[in-house]
Amino acid sequence: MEDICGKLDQILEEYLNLISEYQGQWKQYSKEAESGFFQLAHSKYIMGHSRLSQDQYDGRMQANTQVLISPNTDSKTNKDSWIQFTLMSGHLDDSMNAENNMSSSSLRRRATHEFEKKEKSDMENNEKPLIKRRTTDPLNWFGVLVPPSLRESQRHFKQGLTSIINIINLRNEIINKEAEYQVLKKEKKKLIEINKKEQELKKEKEKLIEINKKEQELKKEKEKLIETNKKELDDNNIK
Amino acid sequence: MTSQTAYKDRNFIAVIGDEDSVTGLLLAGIGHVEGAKKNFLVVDSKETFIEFTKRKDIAIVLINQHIAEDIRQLVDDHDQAFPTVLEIPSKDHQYDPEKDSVLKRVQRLFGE
Repeated sequence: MEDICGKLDQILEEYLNLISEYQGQWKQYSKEAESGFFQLAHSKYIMGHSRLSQDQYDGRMQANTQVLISPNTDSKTNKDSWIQFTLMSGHLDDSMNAENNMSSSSLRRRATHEFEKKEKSDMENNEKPLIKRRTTDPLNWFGVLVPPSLRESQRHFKQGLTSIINIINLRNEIINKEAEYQVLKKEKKKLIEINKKEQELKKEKEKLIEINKKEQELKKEKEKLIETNKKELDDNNIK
Repeated sequence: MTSQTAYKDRNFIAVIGDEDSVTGLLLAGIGHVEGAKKNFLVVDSKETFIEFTKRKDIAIVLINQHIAEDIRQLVDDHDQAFPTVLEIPSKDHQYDPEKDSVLKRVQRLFGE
């Protein structure tokens, strides 16, 4: 019983810590987003509204910030508990392919080299077609020379994104902790009920013992009475 | 390890929001276009939310809180683990802890 109470307290403490961390991350994100929006508005003021709108988005953009999902294993219970997101910069495919086989990366390097050659001379069409990965900075969609405030805005949004990922991870952890807490609470309730029943049974037992005692006492008294009755009868007979 | 490979293709962060939120997050580098498929949308759409939550390559859907408010039923009904949906505040609508689903859960837990 005490064991479970201790565990409950511990989980609750962890839970509250997580929540405070969660709120802290939200504060952090709000701060970053606020600065980001402010710098963005400033850039709009400098560049003009039309130069900084959704019409300028690159229609062929490729994500250079992605997430990696991995199940998180609880070290204590050793079972999959919640999902962890990790923010990755750069092209995931590239890094994964590089890990998968090293030979392809050298091939690719050679291929890109060929590509450059092709660009220069515009010949040698027998090479296999290659997919050129565009690693352009989103900043360049809006022009080559962008105001520093836009750069600043980008920095803030990148920071904000880190907070967002933290928030999501914390949220998953919080939900997980909550489930743990509920399970323990149920166990505690069960234990309390069992304890109650045990005590009730004990009381009943005690009562029964007392009743038994009383019965025996009554029996003895009855025997005594019978004896005295007999004696009286005997005395009467003698008389 | 097998489960890890199942998530291997889920890497993108999608966003539904007002123009500034989307521009900001695209600046952070999450934008991805493949043919007619893109992972961002300026201003709300029910269909887009459904589309994003159905796609197999999106890990996270970020949605402006005030837009999520418009399609609240859809957002609340989304109970799968993937993609994870997170409501983010927008420029004109500050983060409101009262509407935070996690903090609501916390209240419920202690309100019992």
